[in-house]
Amino acid sequence: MSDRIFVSGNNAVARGAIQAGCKYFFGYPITPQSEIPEYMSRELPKIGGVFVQSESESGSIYMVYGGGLAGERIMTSTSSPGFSLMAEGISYLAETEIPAVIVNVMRMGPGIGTGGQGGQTDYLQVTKGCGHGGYRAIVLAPASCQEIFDLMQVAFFLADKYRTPVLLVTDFILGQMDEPIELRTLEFEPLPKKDWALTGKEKRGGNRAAHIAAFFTYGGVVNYHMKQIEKYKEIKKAEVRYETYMAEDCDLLIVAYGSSARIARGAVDMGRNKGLKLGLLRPITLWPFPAEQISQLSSKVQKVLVVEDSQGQLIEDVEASIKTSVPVHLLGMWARHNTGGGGIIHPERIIEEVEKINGK
Amino acid sequence: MDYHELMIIGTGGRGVLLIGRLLLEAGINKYKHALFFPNYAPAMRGGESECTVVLSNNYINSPVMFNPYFALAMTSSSLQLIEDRIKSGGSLILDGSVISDEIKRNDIKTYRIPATEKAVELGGNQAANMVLLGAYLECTKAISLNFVEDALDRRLQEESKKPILTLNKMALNEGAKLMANYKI
Repeated sequence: MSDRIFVSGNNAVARGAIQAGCKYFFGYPITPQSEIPEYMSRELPKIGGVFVQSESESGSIYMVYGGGLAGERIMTSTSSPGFSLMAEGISYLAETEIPAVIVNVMRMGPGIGTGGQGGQTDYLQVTKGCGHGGYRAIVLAPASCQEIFDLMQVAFFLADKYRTPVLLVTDFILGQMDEPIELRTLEFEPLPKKDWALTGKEKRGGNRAAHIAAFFTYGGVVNYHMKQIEKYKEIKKAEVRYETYMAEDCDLLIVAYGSSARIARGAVDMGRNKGLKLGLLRPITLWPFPAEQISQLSSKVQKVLVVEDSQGQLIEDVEASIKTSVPVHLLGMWARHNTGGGGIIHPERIIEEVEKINGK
Repeated sequence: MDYHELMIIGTGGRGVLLIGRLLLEAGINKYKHALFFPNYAPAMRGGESECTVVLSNNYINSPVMFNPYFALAMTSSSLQLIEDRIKSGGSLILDGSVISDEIKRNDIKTYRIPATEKAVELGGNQAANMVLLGAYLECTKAISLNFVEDALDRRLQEESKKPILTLNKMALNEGAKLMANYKI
Protein backbone atom coordinates (compact mmCIF):
# COMPACT_ATOMS: atom_id res chain seq x y z
CA MET A 1 0.00 0.00 0.00
CA SER A 2 3.01 2.26 -0.36
CA ASP A 3 1.62 3.90 -3.50
CA ARG A 4 -0.76 5.87 -1.35
CA ILE A 5 0.08 9.02 0.53
CA PHE A 6 -1.68 10.83 3.35
CA VAL A 7 -2.96 14.26 2.57
CA SER A 8 -5.47 16.70 3.93
CA GLY A 9 -8.35 17.81 1.73
CA ASN A 10 -6.61 21.15 1.19
CA ASN A 11 -3.42 19.42 0.17
CA ALA A 12 -5.42 17.22 -2.23
CA VAL A 13 -6.74 20.37 -3.95
CA ALA A 14 -3.22 21.60 -4.62
CA ARG A 15 -1.86 18.20 -5.68
CA GLY A 16 -4.87 17.56 -7.93
CA ALA A 17 -4.35 20.90 -9.65
CA ILE A 18 -0.68 20.19 -10.33
CA GLN A 19 -1.62 16.71 -11.59
CA ALA A 20 -3.96 18.44 -14.05
CA GLY A 21 -1.13 20.56 -15.38
CA CYS A 22 -1.89 23.77 -13.49
CA LYS A 23 1.31 25.77 -13.08
CA TYR A 24 -0.03 29.15 -12.04
CA PHE A 25 -1.64 30.09 -8.76
CA PHE A 26 -2.66 33.53 -7.57
CA GLY A 27 -4.19 33.81 -4.15
CA TYR A 28 -4.39 35.37 -0.75
CA PRO A 29 -4.26 33.50 2.57
CA ILE A 30 -7.47 32.93 4.51
CA THR A 31 -8.46 30.23 7.00
CA PRO A 32 -9.37 27.38 6.54
CA GLN A 33 -7.73 27.06 3.09
CA SER A 34 -4.25 28.51 3.63
CA GLU A 35 -2.61 25.10 3.21
CA ILE A 36 -3.45 25.34 -0.52
CA PRO A 37 -1.42 28.52 -1.26
CA GLU A 38 1.23 27.26 1.19
CA TYR A 39 1.73 24.08 -0.86
CA MET A 40 1.56 25.92 -4.19
CA SER A 41 4.09 28.55 -3.09
CA ARG A 42 6.53 25.76 -2.25
CA GLU A 43 5.92 23.40 -5.16
CA LEU A 44 5.08 25.53 -8.22
CA PRO A 45 8.52 27.20 -8.55
CA LYS A 46 10.07 23.70 -8.61
CA ILE A 47 8.16 22.81 -11.80
CA GLY A 48 8.67 26.12 -13.57
CA GLY A 49 5.36 27.53 -12.42
CA VAL A 50 4.43 30.81 -10.79
CA PHE A 51 2.92 31.57 -7.41
CA VAL A 52 1.87 35.09 -6.52
CA GLN A 53 0.39 36.19 -3.24
CA SER A 54 -1.75 39.09 -4.34
CA GLU A 55 -2.72 42.18 -2.37
CA SER A 56 -6.27 40.88 -1.95
CA GLU A 57 -8.74 38.42 -3.41
CA SER A 58 -9.97 41.07 -5.86
CA GLY A 59 -6.42 41.17 -7.14
CA SER A 60 -5.97 37.39 -7.36
CA ILE A 61 -9.06 36.83 -9.48
CA TYR A 62 -7.90 39.34 -12.10
CA MET A 63 -4.47 37.73 -12.19
CA VAL A 64 -6.33 34.47 -12.86
CA TYR A 65 -8.26 36.29 -15.59
CA GLY A 66 -5.03 37.41 -17.24
CA GLY A 67 -3.40 33.99 -17.00
CA GLY A 68 -6.51 32.28 -18.33
CA LEU A 69 -6.59 34.68 -21.26
CA ALA A 70 -3.06 33.54 -22.08
CA GLY A 71 -4.46 30.03 -22.40
CA GLU A 72 -2.80 28.49 -19.35
CA ARG A 73 -4.34 26.19 -16.78
CA ILE A 74 -4.74 28.48 -13.85
CA MET A 75 -6.44 28.63 -10.47
CA THR A 76 -7.03 30.37 -7.20
CA SER A 77 -8.45 29.27 -3.88
CA THR A 78 -10.08 31.13 -1.05
CA SER A 79 -12.72 30.90 1.66
CA SER A 80 -16.14 32.53 1.83
CA PRO A 81 -15.37 36.26 2.47
CA GLY A 82 -12.55 36.12 -0.09
CA PHE A 83 -14.87 34.37 -2.53
CA SER A 84 -17.30 37.30 -2.28
CA LEU A 85 -14.47 39.64 -3.19
CA MET A 86 -13.77 37.52 -6.25
CA ALA A 87 -17.38 37.60 -7.44
CA GLU A 88 -16.90 40.52 -9.81
CA GLY A 89 -13.91 38.88 -11.48
CA ILE A 90 -15.70 35.55 -11.83
CA SER A 91 -18.52 37.35 -13.62
CA TYR A 92 -15.93 38.80 -16.04
CA LEU A 93 -14.43 35.32 -16.57
CA ALA A 94 -17.90 34.00 -17.35
CA GLU A 95 -18.70 36.84 -19.73
CA THR A 96 -15.51 36.39 -21.72
CA GLU A 97 -15.57 32.58 -21.53
CA ILE A 98 -12.14 32.28 -19.93
CA PRO A 99 -11.48 28.86 -18.36
CA ALA A 100 -10.31 28.95 -14.73
CA VAL A 101 -10.75 26.90 -11.57
CA ILE A 102 -11.75 28.63 -8.34
CA VAL A 103 -11.80 26.68 -5.07
CA ASN A 104 -13.93 27.85 -2.15
CA VAL A 105 -13.19 26.14 1.19
CA MET A 106 -16.34 27.43 2.85
CA ARG A 107 -16.51 28.81 6.36
CA MET A 108 -19.62 29.77 8.27
CA GLY A 109 -20.93 33.16 7.11
CA PRO A 110 -22.21 35.71 6.45
CA GLY A 111 -19.76 38.57 6.87
CA ILE A 112 -16.37 37.78 8.31
CA GLY A 113 -17.72 34.40 9.44
CA THR A 114 -15.76 31.92 11.48
CA GLY A 115 -12.44 30.70 10.12
CA GLY A 116 -12.01 27.92 12.62
CA GLN A 117 -15.13 25.91 12.06
CA GLY A 118 -17.21 24.27 9.41
CA GLY A 119 -20.21 25.52 7.57
CA GLN A 120 -21.86 25.14 4.19
CA THR A 121 -23.38 28.58 4.00
CA ASP A 122 -22.26 29.46 0.45
CA TYR A 123 -24.53 27.03 -1.41
CA LEU A 124 -26.78 29.72 -2.84
CA GLN A 125 -23.83 31.94 -3.67
CA VAL A 126 -21.92 29.32 -5.66
CA THR A 127 -24.89 27.77 -7.44
CA LYS A 128 -26.89 30.84 -8.39
CA GLY A 129 -24.08 32.90 -9.89
CA CYS A 130 -22.15 34.77 -7.25
CA GLY A 131 -21.36 37.77 -9.41
CA HIS A 132 -23.67 39.97 -11.46
CA GLY A 133 -25.25 39.13 -14.78
CA GLY A 134 -26.97 35.79 -14.28
CA TYR A 135 -24.19 33.56 -15.61
CA ARG A 136 -23.74 29.91 -14.64
CA ALA A 137 -20.57 28.17 -13.51
CA ILE A 138 -20.11 24.44 -13.05
CA VAL A 139 -19.92 23.68 -9.30
CA LEU A 140 -18.22 20.50 -8.05
CA ALA A 141 -18.70 19.30 -4.47
CA PRO A 142 -16.39 16.40 -3.49
CA ALA A 143 -16.73 14.47 -0.23
CA SER A 144 -13.37 12.74 0.31
CA CYS A 145 -9.69 13.54 -0.18
CA GLN A 146 -9.45 11.16 -3.15
CA GLU A 147 -12.49 12.72 -4.76
CA ILE A 148 -11.05 16.21 -4.21
CA PHE A 149 -7.84 15.12 -5.96
CA ASP A 150 -9.77 13.55 -8.86
CA LEU A 151 -12.34 16.31 -9.26
CA MET A 152 -9.62 18.96 -9.45
CA GLN A 153 -8.52 17.24 -12.66
CA VAL A 154 -12.14 17.09 -13.84
CA ALA A 155 -12.52 20.80 -13.00
CA PHE A 156 -9.67 21.83 -15.28
CA PHE A 157 -10.97 19.59 -18.06
CA LEU A 158 -14.51 20.98 -17.85
CA ALA A 159 -13.23 24.57 -17.66
CA ASP A 160 -11.32 24.06 -20.92
CA LYS A 161 -14.06 22.03 -22.60
CA TYR A 162 -16.83 24.57 -22.02
CA ARG A 163 -14.67 27.67 -21.67
CA THR A 164 -16.18 28.53 -18.33
CA PRO A 165 -15.09 29.17 -14.76
CA VAL A 166 -15.46 25.99 -12.68
CA LEU A 167 -15.98 26.23 -8.93
CA LEU A 168 -15.01 23.49 -6.50
CA VAL A 169 -16.41 23.78 -2.98
CA THR A 170 -15.26 22.06 0.19
CA ASP A 171 -15.38 23.16 3.81
CA PHE A 172 -13.47 23.07 7.11
CA ILE A 173 -14.07 19.36 7.71
CA LEU A 174 -13.02 18.27 4.21
CA GLY A 175 -10.14 20.73 4.10
CA GLN A 176 -8.61 19.68 7.39
CA MET A 177 -9.20 15.93 7.50
CA ASP A 178 -6.46 13.54 6.40
CA GLU A 179 -7.00 10.44 4.26
CA PRO A 180 -4.80 8.28 2.07
CA ILE A 181 -5.06 9.03 -1.63
CA GLU A 182 -3.77 7.41 -4.77
CA LEU A 183 -1.94 9.89 -7.02
CA ARG A 184 -3.59 8.85 -10.26
CA THR A 185 -3.90 10.72 -13.54
CA LEU A 186 -7.38 10.69 -15.02
CA GLU A 187 -7.86 10.28 -18.76
CA PHE A 188 -10.04 12.74 -20.66
CA GLU A 189 -11.21 13.17 -24.25
CA PRO A 190 -8.99 15.47 -26.36
CA LEU A 191 -9.67 19.20 -26.07
CA PRO A 192 -9.78 21.72 -28.94
CA LYS A 193 -6.77 23.98 -29.34
CA LYS A 194 -7.09 27.30 -27.52
CA ASP A 195 -6.92 29.38 -30.69
CA TRP A 196 -8.55 32.25 -28.85
CA ALA A 197 -5.71 32.66 -26.36
CA LEU A 198 -3.25 35.54 -26.27
CA THR A 199 0.08 33.82 -26.69
CA GLY A 200 2.57 36.56 -27.59
CA LYS A 201 4.00 38.30 -30.67
CA GLU A 202 2.80 37.10 -34.07
CA LYS A 203 6.36 37.27 -35.43
CA ARG A 204 7.27 34.57 -32.95
CA GLY A 205 4.30 32.46 -33.86
CA GLY A 206 2.08 33.83 -31.14
CA ASN A 207 -1.36 35.37 -31.19
CA ARG A 208 -1.93 38.99 -30.23
CA ALA A 209 -5.63 39.30 -30.89
CA ALA A 210 -7.98 37.73 -28.40
CA HIS A 211 -11.10 36.10 -29.76
CA ILE A 212 -12.95 36.27 -26.51
CA ALA A 213 -16.63 36.58 -26.05
CA ALA A 214 -18.31 39.82 -25.15
CA PHE A 215 -21.67 41.33 -25.93
CA PHE A 216 -20.66 42.12 -29.52
CA THR A 217 -18.92 38.84 -30.41
CA TYR A 218 -21.90 36.71 -31.37
CA GLY A 219 -23.79 39.57 -32.98
CA GLY A 220 -25.37 41.62 -30.23
CA VAL A 221 -26.53 41.19 -26.66
CA VAL A 222 -29.38 38.80 -27.37
CA ASN A 223 -27.29 36.52 -29.56
CA TYR A 224 -24.57 36.52 -26.94
CA HIS A 225 -27.00 35.34 -24.28
CA MET A 226 -28.61 32.78 -26.62
CA LYS A 227 -25.17 31.31 -27.16
CA GLN A 228 -24.62 31.10 -23.39
CA ILE A 229 -28.07 29.57 -22.85
CA GLU A 230 -27.22 26.89 -25.42
CA LYS A 231 -23.96 26.16 -23.62
CA TYR A 232 -25.72 25.88 -20.24
CA LYS A 233 -28.24 23.44 -21.76
CA GLU A 234 -25.42 21.33 -23.11
CA ILE A 235 -23.71 21.29 -19.70
CA LYS A 236 -26.97 20.38 -17.96
CA LYS A 237 -27.45 17.49 -20.37
CA ALA A 238 -23.94 16.08 -20.16
CA GLU A 239 -22.35 16.93 -16.85
CA VAL A 240 -24.73 16.08 -14.00
CA ARG A 241 -22.87 13.99 -11.43
CA TYR A 242 -24.27 12.38 -8.30
CA GLU A 243 -23.85 9.33 -6.09
CA THR A 244 -26.45 7.19 -4.39
CA TYR A 245 -25.97 4.95 -1.38
CA MET A 246 -28.52 2.31 -0.35
CA ALA A 247 -31.13 4.33 -2.21
CA GLU A 248 -32.73 1.46 -4.19
CA ASP A 249 -35.07 0.27 -1.45
CA CYS A 250 -35.13 3.13 1.03
CA ASP A 251 -38.20 4.59 2.74
CA LEU A 252 -36.49 7.81 3.65
CA LEU A 253 -34.11 9.50 1.23
CA ILE A 254 -31.45 11.80 2.63
CA VAL A 255 -30.09 14.46 0.28
CA ALA A 256 -26.79 16.05 1.30
CA TYR A 257 -23.54 17.23 -0.30
CA GLY A 258 -19.89 17.55 0.69
CA SER A 259 -18.98 16.81 4.31
CA SER A 260 -22.64 16.58 5.32
CA ALA A 261 -23.14 13.81 2.77
CA ARG A 262 -20.20 11.90 4.19
CA ILE A 263 -21.68 12.21 7.68
CA ALA A 264 -25.13 11.25 6.34
CA ARG A 265 -23.61 8.12 4.79
CA GLY A 266 -22.55 7.15 8.30
CA ALA A 267 -26.12 7.78 9.43
CA VAL A 268 -27.49 5.52 6.66
CA ASP A 269 -25.41 2.59 7.98
CA MET A 270 -26.36 3.35 11.58
CA GLY A 271 -30.01 3.56 10.61
CA ARG A 272 -29.94 0.31 8.61
CA ASN A 273 -28.46 -1.44 11.66
CA LYS A 274 -31.47 -0.24 13.62
CA GLY A 275 -33.91 -1.39 10.93
CA LEU A 276 -34.49 2.08 9.49
CA LYS A 277 -34.52 1.93 5.69
CA LEU A 278 -32.45 5.00 4.89
CA GLY A 279 -30.79 5.90 1.62
CA LEU A 280 -28.68 8.77 0.39
CA LEU A 281 -28.42 10.87 -2.74
CA ARG A 282 -25.34 13.07 -2.90
CA PRO A 283 -25.16 15.71 -5.62
CA ILE A 284 -21.55 15.87 -6.83
CA THR A 285 -22.32 18.70 -9.22
CA LEU A 286 -24.31 21.39 -7.40
CA TRP A 287 -24.76 23.02 -10.78
CA PRO A 288 -25.90 21.34 -12.95
CA PHE A 289 -28.13 19.96 -10.18
CA PRO A 290 -29.29 16.29 -10.32
CA ALA A 291 -32.91 17.42 -10.31
CA GLU A 292 -34.21 14.58 -12.45
CA GLN A 293 -32.55 11.89 -10.31
CA ILE A 294 -33.95 13.43 -7.13
CA SER A 295 -37.37 13.69 -8.73
CA GLN A 296 -37.30 10.00 -9.71
CA LEU A 297 -36.00 8.68 -6.41
CA SER A 298 -38.28 10.86 -4.31
CA SER A 299 -41.34 9.46 -6.07
CA LYS A 300 -40.54 6.03 -4.59
CA VAL A 301 -39.99 7.07 -0.96
CA GLN A 302 -42.22 8.21 1.88
CA LYS A 303 -40.03 11.00 3.16
CA VAL A 304 -37.09 13.14 2.14
CA LEU A 305 -34.63 14.66 4.60
CA VAL A 306 -32.18 17.35 3.52
CA VAL A 307 -29.07 17.61 5.73
CA GLU A 308 -26.88 20.68 5.34
CA ASP A 309 -24.65 22.66 7.69
CA SER A 310 -26.46 25.89 6.89
CA GLN A 311 -29.80 27.61 7.35
CA GLY A 312 -31.61 25.78 4.54
CA GLN A 313 -30.16 26.50 1.09
CA LEU A 314 -29.77 23.13 -0.65
CA ILE A 315 -33.38 22.38 0.30
CA GLU A 316 -34.57 25.03 -2.17
CA ASP A 317 -33.16 23.05 -5.10
CA VAL A 318 -34.38 19.74 -3.65
CA GLU A 319 -37.93 21.05 -3.23
CA ALA A 320 -37.87 22.52 -6.72
CA SER A 321 -36.84 19.10 -8.11
CA ILE A 322 -39.62 17.10 -6.46
CA LYS A 323 -42.84 16.81 -8.42
CA THR A 324 -44.87 14.84 -5.88
CA SER A 325 -46.25 15.77 -2.47
CA VAL A 326 -43.66 13.72 -0.56
CA PRO A 327 -42.80 15.64 2.62
CA VAL A 328 -39.35 17.26 2.61
CA HIS A 329 -37.75 17.80 6.03
CA LEU A 330 -34.67 19.84 6.84
CA LEU A 331 -31.89 19.28 9.35
CA GLY A 332 -29.72 22.37 9.34
CA MET A 333 -26.94 23.94 11.38
CA TRP A 334 -29.07 24.01 14.53
CA ALA A 335 -28.35 20.29 14.78
CA ARG A 336 -24.69 20.93 15.71
CA HIS A 337 -23.58 19.34 18.98
CA ASN A 338 -22.53 22.65 20.44
CA THR A 339 -23.38 26.22 19.64
CA GLY A 340 -19.82 27.52 19.81
CA GLY A 341 -16.61 26.80 17.94
CA GLY A 342 -16.23 23.31 16.56
CA GLY A 343 -19.93 22.48 16.47
CA ILE A 344 -20.66 19.54 14.17
CA ILE A 345 -23.76 17.70 12.94
CA HIS A 346 -23.01 14.10 13.89
CA PRO A 347 -24.52 10.98 12.28
CA GLU A 348 -26.14 10.15 15.63
CA ARG A 349 -28.05 13.45 15.45
CA ILE A 350 -29.33 12.59 11.97
CA ILE A 351 -30.71 9.29 13.29
CA GLU A 352 -32.38 11.17 16.15
CA GLU A 353 -34.06 13.43 13.58
CA VAL A 354 -35.19 10.46 11.46
CA GLU A 355 -36.76 8.89 14.53
CA LYS A 356 -38.47 12.17 15.35
CA ILE A 357 -39.83 12.46 11.81
CA ASN A 358 -41.04 8.85 11.86
CA GLY A 359 -42.77 9.43 15.17
CA LYS A 360 -44.90 12.17 13.68
CA MET B 1 -11.15 -6.62 14.61
CA ASP B 2 -10.96 -4.71 11.36
CA TYR B 3 -12.52 -1.50 12.62
CA HIS B 4 -11.27 0.96 15.23
CA GLU B 5 -12.61 4.36 16.16
CA LEU B 6 -10.93 6.63 18.65
CA MET B 7 -11.45 10.14 19.92
CA ILE B 8 -8.44 11.85 21.51
CA ILE B 9 -9.14 14.91 23.58
CA GLY B 10 -6.96 17.19 25.69
CA THR B 11 -5.30 20.57 25.86
CA GLY B 12 -3.75 22.17 22.80
CA GLY B 13 0.04 21.95 22.69
CA ARG B 14 0.35 18.53 24.36
CA GLY B 15 0.35 16.46 21.23
CA VAL B 16 -3.31 15.44 20.97
CA LEU B 17 -3.29 15.84 17.21
CA LEU B 18 0.20 14.42 16.80
CA ILE B 19 -0.64 11.01 18.22
CA GLY B 20 -3.82 10.94 16.13
CA ARG B 21 -1.84 11.66 12.99
CA LEU B 22 0.81 9.09 13.94
CA LEU B 23 -1.85 6.46 14.45
CA LEU B 24 -3.12 7.23 10.96
CA GLU B 25 0.32 7.05 9.33
CA ALA B 26 1.07 3.77 11.10
CA GLY B 27 -2.44 2.37 10.62
CA ILE B 28 -2.28 2.40 6.85
CA ASN B 29 0.23 -0.46 7.02
CA LYS B 30 -2.58 -2.71 8.17
CA TYR B 31 -5.89 -1.14 7.15
CA LYS B 32 -7.26 -0.32 3.72
CA HIS B 33 -8.85 2.90 4.90
CA ALA B 34 -7.91 5.44 7.52
CA LEU B 35 -9.18 8.86 8.43
CA PHE B 36 -8.00 11.60 10.78
CA PHE B 37 -10.03 14.69 11.55
CA PRO B 38 -8.62 17.37 13.85
CA ASN B 39 -11.25 19.64 15.37
CA TYR B 40 -9.13 22.17 17.17
CA ALA B 41 -9.20 25.41 15.31
CA PRO B 42 -10.18 27.98 17.92
CA ALA B 43 -8.43 26.01 20.64
CA MET B 44 -4.75 25.64 19.80
CA ARG B 45 -2.33 26.10 22.67
CA GLY B 46 -4.30 26.06 25.83
CA GLY B 47 -7.89 25.41 24.70
CA GLU B 48 -9.61 22.07 24.26
CA SER B 49 -8.21 20.20 21.33
CA GLU B 50 -9.66 17.01 19.89
CA CYS B 51 -9.34 14.66 16.97
CA THR B 52 -10.94 11.50 15.69
CA VAL B 53 -9.15 8.59 14.07
CA VAL B 54 -10.85 5.71 12.24
CA LEU B 55 -9.03 2.65 10.93
CA SER B 56 -11.04 0.23 8.82
CA ASN B 57 -10.91 -2.26 6.01
CA ASN B 58 -14.17 -0.87 4.67
CA TYR B 59 -14.78 2.59 3.26
CA ILE B 60 -15.08 5.04 6.15
CA ASN B 61 -18.34 6.90 6.02
CA SER B 62 -18.52 9.68 8.56
CA PRO B 63 -15.31 11.50 9.51
CA VAL B 64 -16.92 12.46 12.82
CA MET B 65 -18.85 10.61 15.51
CA PHE B 66 -20.71 11.83 18.58
CA ASN B 67 -20.38 8.54 20.46
CA PRO B 68 -16.91 7.07 20.00
CA TYR B 69 -16.21 3.49 21.05
CA PHE B 70 -12.84 4.43 22.45
CA ALA B 71 -11.68 7.69 24.01
CA LEU B 72 -8.38 8.95 25.27
CA ALA B 73 -8.53 11.94 27.65
CA MET B 74 -5.51 14.01 28.64
CA THR B 75 -7.03 16.56 31.03
CA SER B 76 -9.85 16.81 33.54
CA SER B 77 -11.75 19.44 31.56
CA SER B 78 -11.60 17.36 28.39
CA LEU B 79 -12.73 14.27 30.30
CA GLN B 80 -15.90 16.14 31.23
CA LEU B 81 -16.62 16.76 27.56
CA ILE B 82 -16.22 13.14 26.53
CA GLU B 83 -17.22 10.91 29.45
CA ASP B 84 -20.96 10.84 28.73
CA ARG B 85 -20.41 10.39 25.01
CA ILE B 86 -18.50 7.09 25.00
CA LYS B 87 -20.51 4.16 23.60
CA SER B 88 -21.85 1.75 26.18
CA GLY B 89 -19.40 -1.15 26.37
CA GLY B 90 -16.60 1.08 25.12
CA SER B 91 -13.34 2.09 26.77
CA LEU B 92 -11.61 5.14 28.16
CA ILE B 93 -7.94 5.71 28.81
CA LEU B 94 -7.05 8.75 30.86
CA ASP B 95 -3.86 10.34 32.14
CA GLY B 96 -4.07 9.32 35.77
CA SER B 97 -1.23 11.67 36.72
CA VAL B 98 -3.29 14.76 36.05
CA ILE B 99 -6.90 13.52 36.22
CA SER B 100 -8.26 12.53 39.60
CA ASP B 101 -11.97 12.85 38.76
CA GLU B 102 -14.22 9.99 39.67
CA ILE B 103 -15.71 8.23 36.63
CA LYS B 104 -19.50 8.00 36.89
CA ARG B 105 -19.98 5.57 34.03
CA ASN B 106 -19.99 1.91 34.99
CA ASP B 107 -20.83 0.61 31.52
CA ILE B 108 -17.41 1.43 30.10
CA LYS B 109 -13.92 0.18 30.91
CA THR B 110 -11.66 2.86 32.38
CA TYR B 111 -7.87 2.70 32.46
CA ARG B 112 -5.96 5.27 34.51
CA ILE B 113 -2.47 5.38 33.07
CA PRO B 114 0.02 7.64 34.93
CA ALA B 115 1.24 9.04 31.63
CA THR B 116 2.72 12.38 32.69
CA GLU B 117 4.52 10.81 35.67
CA LYS B 118 6.02 8.10 33.45
CA ALA B 119 7.04 10.66 30.81
CA VAL B 120 8.79 12.85 33.41
CA GLU B 121 10.58 9.76 34.72
CA LEU B 122 11.78 9.05 31.17
CA GLY B 123 13.03 12.56 30.62
CA GLY B 124 10.26 14.93 29.57
CA ASN B 125 6.57 15.46 30.32
CA GLN B 126 5.92 16.27 26.65
CA ALA B 127 6.01 12.53 25.93
CA ALA B 128 2.87 11.85 28.00
CA ASN B 129 0.89 11.61 24.76
CA MET B 130 3.14 8.79 23.55
CA VAL B 131 2.66 6.87 26.81
CA LEU B 132 -1.09 7.06 26.24
CA LEU B 133 -0.76 5.99 22.60
CA GLY B 134 1.33 2.98 23.67
CA ALA B 135 -1.31 2.06 26.23
CA TYR B 136 -4.06 2.37 23.62
CA LEU B 137 -2.25 0.11 21.17
CA GLU B 138 -1.56 -2.51 23.84
CA CYS B 139 -5.23 -2.42 24.83
CA THR B 140 -6.73 -2.67 21.34
CA LYS B 141 -3.91 -4.33 19.36
CA ALA B 142 -5.09 -2.08 16.54
CA ILE B 143 -1.59 -2.02 15.05
CA SER B 144 1.87 -3.10 16.12
CA LEU B 145 4.08 -0.58 17.95
CA ASN B 146 6.71 -1.07 15.23
CA PHE B 147 4.58 0.76 12.70
CA VAL B 148 4.36 3.76 15.02
CA GLU B 149 8.13 3.63 15.58
CA ASP B 150 8.64 3.64 11.81
CA ALA B 151 6.35 6.64 11.48
CA LEU B 152 8.37 8.41 14.19
CA ASP B 153 11.61 7.54 12.39
CA ARG B 154 10.28 9.13 9.21
CA ARG B 155 9.26 12.29 11.05
CA LEU B 156 12.38 12.74 13.18
CA GLN B 157 15.28 12.04 10.83
CA GLU B 158 17.64 14.90 11.70
CA GLU B 159 20.55 14.15 13.99
CA SER B 160 19.42 16.92 16.34
CA LYS B 161 16.07 15.18 16.81
CA LYS B 162 17.65 11.92 18.02
CA PRO B 163 17.09 12.57 21.76
CA ILE B 164 13.40 13.38 21.25
CA LEU B 165 13.00 10.34 18.99
CA THR B 166 14.49 8.08 21.64
CA LEU B 167 12.30 9.63 24.35
CA ASN B 168 9.17 9.15 22.24
CA LYS B 169 9.93 5.51 21.48
CA MET B 170 10.66 4.76 25.12
CA ALA B 171 7.43 6.47 26.16
CA LEU B 172 5.46 4.47 23.60
CA ASN B 173 6.85 1.16 24.84
CA GLU B 174 6.51 2.07 28.52
CA GLY B 175 2.88 3.02 27.88
CA ALA B 176 2.26 -0.40 26.39
CA LYS B 177 3.90 -2.03 29.43
CA LEU B 178 1.76 -0.02 31.83
CA MET B 179 -1.33 -1.28 30.02
CA ALA B 180 -0.09 -4.87 29.86
CA ASN B 181 0.38 -4.88 33.64
CA TYR B 182 -2.79 -2.92 34.33
CA LYS B 183 -5.21 -4.32 36.88
CA ILE B 184 -8.76 -3.02 36.87
